[in-house]
Amino acid sequence: MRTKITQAKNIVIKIGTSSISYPNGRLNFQKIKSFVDDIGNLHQDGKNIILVSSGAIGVGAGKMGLSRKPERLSEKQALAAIGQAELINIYRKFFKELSINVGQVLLTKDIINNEITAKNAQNTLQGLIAMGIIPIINENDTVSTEEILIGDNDSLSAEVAILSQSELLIILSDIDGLYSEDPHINPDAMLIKQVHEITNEIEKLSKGKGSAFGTGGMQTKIAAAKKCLNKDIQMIIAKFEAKILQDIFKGEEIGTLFSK
Amino acid sequence: MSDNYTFKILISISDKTISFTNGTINQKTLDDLCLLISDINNSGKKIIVVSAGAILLGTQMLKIKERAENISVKQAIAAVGQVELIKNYQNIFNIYGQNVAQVLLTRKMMQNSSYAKNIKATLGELLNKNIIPIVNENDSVSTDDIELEDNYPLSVKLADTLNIDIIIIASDIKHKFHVLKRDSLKAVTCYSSNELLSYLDDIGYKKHLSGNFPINKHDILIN
Repeated sequence: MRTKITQAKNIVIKIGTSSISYPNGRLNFQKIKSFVDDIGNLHQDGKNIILVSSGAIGVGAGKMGLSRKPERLSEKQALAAIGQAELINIYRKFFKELSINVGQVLLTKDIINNEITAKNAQNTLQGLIAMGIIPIINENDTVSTEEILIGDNDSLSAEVAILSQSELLIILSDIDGLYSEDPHINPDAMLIKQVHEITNEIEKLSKGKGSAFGTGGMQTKIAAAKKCLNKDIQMIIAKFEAKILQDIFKGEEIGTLFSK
Repeated sequence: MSDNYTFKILISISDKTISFTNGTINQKTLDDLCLLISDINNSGKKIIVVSAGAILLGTQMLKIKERAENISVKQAIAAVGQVELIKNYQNIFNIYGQNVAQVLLTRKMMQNSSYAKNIKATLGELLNKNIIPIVNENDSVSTDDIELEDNYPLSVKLADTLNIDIIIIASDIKHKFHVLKRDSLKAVTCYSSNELLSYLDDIGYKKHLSGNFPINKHDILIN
């Protein structure tokens, strides 16, 4: 039983591209809907939730009828600008059905590293939460390309957790958690339930590739965990499925928990 | 056949352009503007929209009665309203067969050379694909223009970053537009969408313009 998790009030939840889209990159509306329903329940329970959602490039590609994966960086950025408008609209619609308002916040690493803009972003997040609105964050891909190139927002989500002084970051993706070995190679690999610190061995375990559309492997998640542990923020890596969030907040041992 | 240079246009829309005096959105004016912009795009010119309206729509969405004074409340309203604003544009432009993209910027970002390069690449790509970029100030991270309540400074900075030839300022008065060419300090006023469209057609440049847009909007209009 993870008691501390059940008591967390300020929570950042990051969902990866692969969890809300089909393998061709287009959106899986059912999955987004069940994700939004689960967040709605947590919101109802009085938890302050901040969402970090990827997926804009895939949505943009779908909108433009692209059947191939975009390759050029500027093309990815353009698709992200098209796709973000669509993606936020879908979240808006699904949350509206639950009578919840959303606010869109687009960030870059530089914004967070700069004292003034970080303070502004922090104020915006606090303002939204105080008004009962769920902030939905993504990287501002028009101006920054860091998360397009690598990480699929893993790193950004840790920065957001720190900025918003949250107690918990949950990273939802298509992997169950951290394994003792690469489960694609060794079927006997064991899921590690808790990590207290990021040792050299843990960093070695994290070297692997992400899926075709998402760019976040385990490495960027472990880097995010390191940032969180430094600030005493707990972090969970889990595979997204309907009701998983409810189970996590019952204190069930799902995925890998990073906690001192 | 014309061998004219395809000039780039930026249209700047303020809160007041698209709202009634009581602060609610004037959907008809917004629709008229989208139709005008669709025509400019369909005529083969490249157009970028800089549009305010997030605070307006956020205030309406959240049913806030008084004008927000607290800056973080204003920023939160803008984060909510931007979602409404972009949806509104998507809905209208969809009718006219146009695709849109959302771009949130600050003037500071464009002073950073690597960001400026990214912004140029993204917007260039969008224009090549005939997609209309809808640009607004990223109020969540910058409070430069949220205080000013005018997006002319952002428009000029963006126009310089992208080598825009013409800025159209949609005024507070319906169907009244100030057109500013890079090579002239004086704005030309058009009193209807049709007048504006034929004015733009008559320009017929062979190459992009040089010169500087006035930094202060006031300087253009007093002539």
